[in-house]
Amino acid sequence: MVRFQNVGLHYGEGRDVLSDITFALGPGTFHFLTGPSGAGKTSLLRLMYLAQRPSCGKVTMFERDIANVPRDELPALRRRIGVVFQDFRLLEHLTAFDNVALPLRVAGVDEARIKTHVEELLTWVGLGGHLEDRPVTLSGGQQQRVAIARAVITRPRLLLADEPTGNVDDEIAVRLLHLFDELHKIGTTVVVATHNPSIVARFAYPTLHLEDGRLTGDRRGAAA
Amino acid sequence: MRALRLPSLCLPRSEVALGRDPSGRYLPSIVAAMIFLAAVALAGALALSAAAARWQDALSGTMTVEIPPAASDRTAAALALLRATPGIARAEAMSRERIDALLEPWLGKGERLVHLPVPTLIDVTLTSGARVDTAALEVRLAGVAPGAAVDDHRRWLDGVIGLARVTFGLALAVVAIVGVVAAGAVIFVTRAKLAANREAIDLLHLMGADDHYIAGHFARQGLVQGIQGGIVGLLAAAAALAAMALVLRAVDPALGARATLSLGQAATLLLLPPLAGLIAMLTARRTVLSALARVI
Ligand SMILES: Nc1ncnc2c1ncn2[C@@H]1O[C@H](COP(=O)(O)OP(=O)(O)OP(=O)(O)O)[C@@H](O)[C@H]1O
Ligand SMILES: [Mg+2]
Repeated sequence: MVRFQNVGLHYGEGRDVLSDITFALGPGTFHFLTGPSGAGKTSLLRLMYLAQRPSCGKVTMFERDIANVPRDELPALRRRIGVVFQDFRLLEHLTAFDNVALPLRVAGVDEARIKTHVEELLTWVGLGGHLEDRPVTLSGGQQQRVAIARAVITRPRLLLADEPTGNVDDEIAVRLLHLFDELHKIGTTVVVATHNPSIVARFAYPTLHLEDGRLTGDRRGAAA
Repeated sequence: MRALRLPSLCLPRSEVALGRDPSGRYLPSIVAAMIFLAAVALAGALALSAAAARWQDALSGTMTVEIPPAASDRTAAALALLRATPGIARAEAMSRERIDALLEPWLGKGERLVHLPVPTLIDVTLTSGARVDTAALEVRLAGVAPGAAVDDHRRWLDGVIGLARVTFGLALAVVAIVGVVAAGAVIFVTRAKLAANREAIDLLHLMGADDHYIAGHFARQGLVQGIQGGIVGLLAAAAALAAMALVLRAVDPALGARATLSLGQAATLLLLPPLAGLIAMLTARRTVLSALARVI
């Protein structure tokens, strides 16, 4: 599903943000990605959601070497990936409903199905009463749930979540993690970057730990 | 506070509608100004060539023969010669009253005219389709009425037709320049919109939208704004042209009546707004595709 071989990354002329990263994620696995602020978690996820090509090494996604995928074939690969961005990236001028509907519209799903799916999912994350609200009128935690709903609405084969529980209390955090767990159980490969040790402890899944741009080994279910 | 959401008339699927649009009013107004210029230039050129064609129709079957005052007693002989010439259907000397009326704007009205020696003018009508060699006719006329001159209006008509052609060429040049300037404005506006909506576009890319999907939204917006601007510009041009026709009619009713557009010509002007929309759409599309080709 995902395989990194000796991957390095630097932005522009800057220093190496990631160095010598090697790991593989099998289909249907669930991993936490931990590490101190600035360790490179977001950068590693960016490589996985194809926002960035590696500076060195080889990234293989869905059995394809990303270096050899022509530009016009990237969209099809990206449509299999759902992303919860650390900064949400909701579009301010769209309602919660329209934000969540966006990936479905990009994929050309018909409006009737979009309506049922989006309303169902937003209700499930507790925002059934906020369908027509704009992001600015929602709290941080509510925005985060909109962002998560948008990431999972297409039932992606790979779900990448960057600090998805940063703005919600533990109860909601656990509820959201259960949502990811549900997707994992139906076969989605999940990677969750988090600072929250209680979440990592609660779900016994393997952890990729980054320190200063380097992987320091999988720590299976260990509380950070 | 919830922002006021206007119903989006033109872009119902505004989900990817590129949010705030810093230049959304700018493009329609520049297109309106351009279409105004193009429409006025084209209408002027079309009206002039239509008038030239009508003048040519009206005048091509006629000639005027002028007999100087000194030879005015030879008028009857000249008339006889003209009537005997093949191709001439009718030759009639103009009455003194008509000649006075023709001269009035230059000489004024009054007693003095009666004593003024004026040339005799003969209206000549050709049988339809006939051609008469003006130079040869003039030589033969000089034999019976010395100094007689034949005017078949050719020189004047050639001048008018030449003017109409030059004006038409100029109008086409104006339309071409307007097209280029409008396309430039579309490129500028599209780049500004791309910059203003960078985040949304990056996001769409990451969700798997391909370049054509994104370019399509800009193209639709260009089409709508181009047509909107085109319609406004055309309406303004129509108002300006109507005002001009009124003024012209007040100055000279005959000229005013001639300076009108045929239905076909008006239809040509109606093509301007869709043309503006098409140019805006294709230019926006191209601009977006070439800009997006530079991102991963
Ligand atoms: N676009 C960028 N251009 C240049 N440098 C960047 C860019 N994005 C991140 N970096 C740098 O890369 C390093 C790793 O950043 P990254 O965002 O991947 O860390 P992180 O582990 O996600 O941190 P956090 O837990 O605070 O989100 C940082 O030193 C950061 O300054
Ligand atoms: Mg981060």
